[in-house]
Amino acid sequence: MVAVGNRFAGDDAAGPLVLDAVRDDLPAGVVARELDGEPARLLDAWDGLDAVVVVDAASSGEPVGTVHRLAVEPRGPSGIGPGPPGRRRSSHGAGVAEALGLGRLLGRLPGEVVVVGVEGARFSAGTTLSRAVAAALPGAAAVVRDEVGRLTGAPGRCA
Amino acid sequence: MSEDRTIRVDALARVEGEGALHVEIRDGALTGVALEIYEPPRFFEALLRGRRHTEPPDITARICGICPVAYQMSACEAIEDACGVVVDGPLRDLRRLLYCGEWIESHTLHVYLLHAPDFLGYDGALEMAADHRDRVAQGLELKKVGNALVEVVGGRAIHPINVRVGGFHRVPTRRELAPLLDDLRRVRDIAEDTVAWVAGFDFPDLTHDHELVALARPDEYAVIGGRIVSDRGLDLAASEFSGAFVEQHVARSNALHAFRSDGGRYLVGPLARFALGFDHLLPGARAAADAAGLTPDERNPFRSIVVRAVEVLHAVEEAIALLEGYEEPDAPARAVEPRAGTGHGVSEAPRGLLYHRYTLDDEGMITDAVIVPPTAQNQPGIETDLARLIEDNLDLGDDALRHVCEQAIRNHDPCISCATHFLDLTVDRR
Repeated sequence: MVAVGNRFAGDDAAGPLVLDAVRDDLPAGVVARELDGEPARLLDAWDGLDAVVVVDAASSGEPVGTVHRLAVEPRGPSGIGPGPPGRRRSSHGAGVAEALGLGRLLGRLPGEVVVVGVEGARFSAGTTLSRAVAAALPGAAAVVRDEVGRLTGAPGRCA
Repeated sequence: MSEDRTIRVDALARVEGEGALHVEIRDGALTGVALEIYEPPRFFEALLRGRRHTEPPDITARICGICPVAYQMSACEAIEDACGVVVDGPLRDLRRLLYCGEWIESHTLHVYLLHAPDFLGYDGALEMAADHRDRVAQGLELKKVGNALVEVVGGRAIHPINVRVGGFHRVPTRRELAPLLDDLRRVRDIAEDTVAWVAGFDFPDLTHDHELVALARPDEYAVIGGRIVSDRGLDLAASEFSGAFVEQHVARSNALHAFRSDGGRYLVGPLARFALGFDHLLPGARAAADAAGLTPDERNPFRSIVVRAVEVLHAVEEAIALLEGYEEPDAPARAVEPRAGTGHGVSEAPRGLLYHRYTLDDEGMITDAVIVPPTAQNQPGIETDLARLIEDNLDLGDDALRHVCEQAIRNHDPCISCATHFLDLTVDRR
């Protein structure tokens, strides 16, 4: 499981906070990492794994607090593009979508990839979450537990 | 007829800044270029006040996710200077090793995933990877070794936690470092090949006349500490930084712009380091630079991508040498007892000279902090580059103009490149 985000950038903390919520429930053998979203680090983080659940803040235009679940085809075309034009090309701004795209092109994605996104609103400096994001965290954590349970065949510990 | 063109850079999630490039064109002539940058280090200067002298390495590492080691090293140098402690020998070597890791990962990311697509005509790394799979794969392989260096020596891949004033919390054993030596020897050829690859790109014509400023040391390609020198005869101690450079508030921006005290523009970063430190490049990097046709007289900012590749090779060579000679320091850190005073620290972040100054009271509380990041110093130079380019390309359409502006901004890998990739060119024609 990979949590992506910055704990000090408003709603961008959603990923790490979901990780905090589920960490104790993860079955043995599940590796959890917290990363900043830089694509090369993400590719290294899931190198050689069978499956990965990525949890990240999202900015798609859906209502704030929406929990997205997206299964990514590791090969061939999938619904995930590189994100809006321009939302990349930067050592500071690239993210999960670019890592997934690169991973697919380079054959460096696990067999199963699920992205859980929490729609955010404010990503400026600070540790305050939008109310709707804070309210969405338990639901996002439940989705992550379900996915980890499904992928590891250990639903009893994760349900 | 007048024409307004606005190139706007919007704020992004998970980025340290926001910025905008405003280009004003009147009656077919360029009348203004303003690069606006929001700078987080300013917040940090304020929140460092009242903190203990031991805290800046951990606090300032948070300023940037790409170059945290630079912030840690300049912070340590400044605090140690204030307290009258010099960290040298094996501990300094270990700091250089950590810094090599940051240069390798930061520069390689920039060269392969950000700047190369500009030269090859792709919108981004994804599009480039579709056609140049092996190239991108080798770039990631090279970068991974930089990541590993930072993780092993720094204790964590992002915002390293093993650095402290006086040295490290814990020093790695030879055994822990051994795999890194194998990795570095393996990717040395990739680093060499990278120089040859990017040297073959087509470079737009542009010559800058900025004063070049970098650190210099008598015995090495300077990264940590040293004199502040320029290609126009400047030669200062770090403590003299404030007398030679001034930061000005620019009304249209919440960022400070740095100038020489006589008002002149200057440039820090790879082009400056290369021009001033050429004689200290390690043999492989020197040979690769020669083969690429680079000389200390290089003044085309677009060739900075070649200089970055040379610096990656240099960092790989230096890291190999440091690891081959590594002996565990006797203690992980030197004691740094606080005392009242002011200290200055300088180091070469991948993007250029990074200056820190701290004033401590006699109990070690920070009463004043100043951080001058490379991007603030380069901002006037970047604007000048952009103005020249835009004047030469006024006939281009919006997309082409945006592309050339993005590419020119990326020449300096500004720490707001988090935002400069989002050049949203809108044209208001009246």
